[in-house]
Amino acid sequence: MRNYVIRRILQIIPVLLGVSILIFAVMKLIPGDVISGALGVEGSPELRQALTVKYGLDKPYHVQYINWILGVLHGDFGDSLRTSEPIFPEMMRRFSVTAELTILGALISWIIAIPLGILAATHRNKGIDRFVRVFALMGVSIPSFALSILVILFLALVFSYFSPLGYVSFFENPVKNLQIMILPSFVLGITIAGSIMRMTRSSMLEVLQQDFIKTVRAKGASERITIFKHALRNAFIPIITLIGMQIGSLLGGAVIIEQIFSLPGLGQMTLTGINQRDYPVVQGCVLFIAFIYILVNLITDLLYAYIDPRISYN
Amino acid sequence: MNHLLEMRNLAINLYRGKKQPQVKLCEGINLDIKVRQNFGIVGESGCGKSITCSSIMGLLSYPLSVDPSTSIRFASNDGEVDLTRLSASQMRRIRGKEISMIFQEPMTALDPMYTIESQINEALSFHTSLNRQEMHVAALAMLEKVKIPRPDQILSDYPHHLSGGMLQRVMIAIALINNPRLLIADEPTTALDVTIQAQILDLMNELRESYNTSVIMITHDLGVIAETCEMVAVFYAGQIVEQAEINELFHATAHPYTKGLLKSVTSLGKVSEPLYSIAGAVPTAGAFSKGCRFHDRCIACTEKCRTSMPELTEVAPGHLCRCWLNQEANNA
Amino acid sequence: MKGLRQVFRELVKDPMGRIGLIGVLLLILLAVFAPLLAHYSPEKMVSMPKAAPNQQFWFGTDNYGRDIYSRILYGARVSLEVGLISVGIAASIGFILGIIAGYFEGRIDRIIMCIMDILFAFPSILLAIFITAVLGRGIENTMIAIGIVNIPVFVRTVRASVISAKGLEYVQNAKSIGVKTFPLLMRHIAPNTIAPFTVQATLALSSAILTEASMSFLGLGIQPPDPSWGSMLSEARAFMEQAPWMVIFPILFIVITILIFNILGDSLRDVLDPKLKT
Repeated sequence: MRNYVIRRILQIIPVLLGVSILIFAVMKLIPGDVISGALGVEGSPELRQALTVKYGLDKPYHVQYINWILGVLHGDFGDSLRTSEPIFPEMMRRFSVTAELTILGALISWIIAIPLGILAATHRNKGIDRFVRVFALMGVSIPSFALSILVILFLALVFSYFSPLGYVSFFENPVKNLQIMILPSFVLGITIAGSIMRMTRSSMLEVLQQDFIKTVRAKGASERITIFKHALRNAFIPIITLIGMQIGSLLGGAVIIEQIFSLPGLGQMTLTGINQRDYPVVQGCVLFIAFIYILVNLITDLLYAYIDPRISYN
Repeated sequence: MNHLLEMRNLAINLYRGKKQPQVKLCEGINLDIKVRQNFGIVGESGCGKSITCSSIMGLLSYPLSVDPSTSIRFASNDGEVDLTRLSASQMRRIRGKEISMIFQEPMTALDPMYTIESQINEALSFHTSLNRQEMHVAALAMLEKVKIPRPDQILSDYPHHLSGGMLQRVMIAIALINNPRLLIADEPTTALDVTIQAQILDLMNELRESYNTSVIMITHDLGVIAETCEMVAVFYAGQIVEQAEINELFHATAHPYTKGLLKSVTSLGKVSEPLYSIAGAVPTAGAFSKGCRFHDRCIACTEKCRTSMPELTEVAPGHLCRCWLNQEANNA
Repeated sequence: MKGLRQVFRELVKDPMGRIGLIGVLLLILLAVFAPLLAHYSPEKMVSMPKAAPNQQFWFGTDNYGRDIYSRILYGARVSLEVGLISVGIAASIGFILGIIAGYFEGRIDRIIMCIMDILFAFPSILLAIFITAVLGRGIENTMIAIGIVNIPVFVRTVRASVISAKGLEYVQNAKSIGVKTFPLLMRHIAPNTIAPFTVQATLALSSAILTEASMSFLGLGIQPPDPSWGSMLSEARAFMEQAPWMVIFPILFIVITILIFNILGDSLRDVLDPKLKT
């Protein structure tokens, strides 16, 4: 097991390296030079020169890349062109918002999707199954921003309820924080619940047809044991794979939801960076989000091996 | 009740949606299983052997169901019951405790996610109140009885660690651990290597005697029947076409289908003869003719065979056959 | 391998397939005939701002007094255009790379797949946003960005079916009697990729339309005054309590469009790959 973990961790190094090179290379493709973009027309040639040296932009590309990566490894993502503040602490503050949103969103989607998916499979072709299939199809077809607007509009017009403005961190005031976070997390959860529901349903249906389920029933097992101990445990492997892949959709969805609900998360920071042409911020945020995504995928892979005894660690 | 199990007029329906009528996959099947009897059911694939046995276990699932006219009486530990009338929880108390089953594909018959021990323990925990330690001892003893080497280690293995033959031994251990009155073996050796087949059959014969268990052996292999069974029912297209004691069946074969089956068994020494096969294929349920279901493959088919269905009648004491030829011979 | 005509026939037989086909056809007609069907120019102010839906302005007017119905029609054009072209980019590049990776395997396969893994390491909307941030906004760059994001799924799909096709007996036979690489690829291997490729393309269309709408909503995709459903929605947000029709109709069309492509994709998958049907 230990060797397997180490091997999987080593395997992500080239991907991380590739991701960072890609981000760096793409940033270099930006037309015009970054400094004039940031300064606009006001900057004097001297100021421009000073900033170019400060950001190391006078050095050859590979040196710039190595300096950037070495900094990143020490938690130094450079300074914002706008505020001149270091990027990393700001990023960490905002990451806590994004992390809370994604985790709550994921939990909500699992709580909704997995039980409904199981019910649909055990009541195949009955009313509940049809409902689940329609719900799932709607879920995968409604973009998160559209659902957010519908929900906000509905609450405002019908209940005259407006989502509280302004963000409060969980550690400051947990109740207020959850009040703020519940609606965005719910929307985020619903938009990914559809595909988990489908996967749970089809995976359960497949497992329920397998021979060993008949053996379990022939032993005199109750339906509860047959479904939850045996069928679900086996059906979980593809569900976990999907859940891992969906972390990407969650992080991407968070970018949009943060914008709509004015939550100061990483996605909002990235978008603001793009709008203000604050390239070090964009570069740092994109790298960080990709890193989180890769990390979560690694964790699901390891979990997968932990759950399925057939995966050998050698 | 004189028998352990009396099945009367079994019919199995296939539901094909609201608009279409149900199709009967099996009908008019009567079986009597005596205590400690070894009963063979033989027939080609798709003739209804497996679903007949699943209906005893109450394991048919949508779109299949047992027709309400069926009765399956069983002499359980708590007296005589009709298995088709039991509630789900009453049936669960019988399944795995008084009637057990082993399946064709040992490689897929065990849950890949759990150890052998936990799957044996399950069979115990559903029907007894043993604690963990007692279950461990019982499981170990049972594995020794089915002649599994290094049982201690095997208990902590997962199914994918074991070979097909070993897994089938585990399945037998699970099936017999609660000392059932009836064991249904659905093609238990079909998926195994020839050398392993004989071992498994010997093991089953041996255990049947020491456990006093009746066995229903489903197979398409007359060799297996010859080696293990006392009484044999031959299935064709959802019906019993012939039923007799083993010697009677082999030596006074009455039905043309059974004759064909016997002829198609390859025997050593007759290398020069070409392999015999029964021409044609089993008709599909729902497309049966109103005559004898075997008529279009029968070498002795007459006009009567095409138009009306023969009854299952006694052609000799204890020997039943569903064929016009024999009925006419008897009547004459 | 099913012929095109048979696939079509089975698709029509399936009620969901019928809904998908008819829906896609209607959408295409709406988009193609937008100039004929629209009552007004999508960019002209033709009325009081924020007029509620009425006989003259079926879907109402927006905050500039533009006819929402006409803007929706032209928006359908933009959505389909972006969807088709970006999936076209992704599918053609993905197809070529997938064939190369799957057929030659070895080093070139490892390089291609490594690049794909890198592209896969980004949440897709983030990658699209990042690419447009660099290329600049506007319709062409949006297409390019969405196209690049969708390449990896096509490479993986095509590569997987090429690898399994290579193991097929008749392909082995063709190889053993000396059929040259290119004809072997085109005549014997490529046809095996069509089924999964088509399903992938339909599903990619729905996700491309979704991504475009999201990006335009964030202000990074199609730029006003071009009518895109996403950007209409983004403009409408400030007024949604006073003029709900400004958000309802774009949302309705976005959802229906994506739904239709999803329905068609699911039904197509059932027809082309009955194994997966549940």
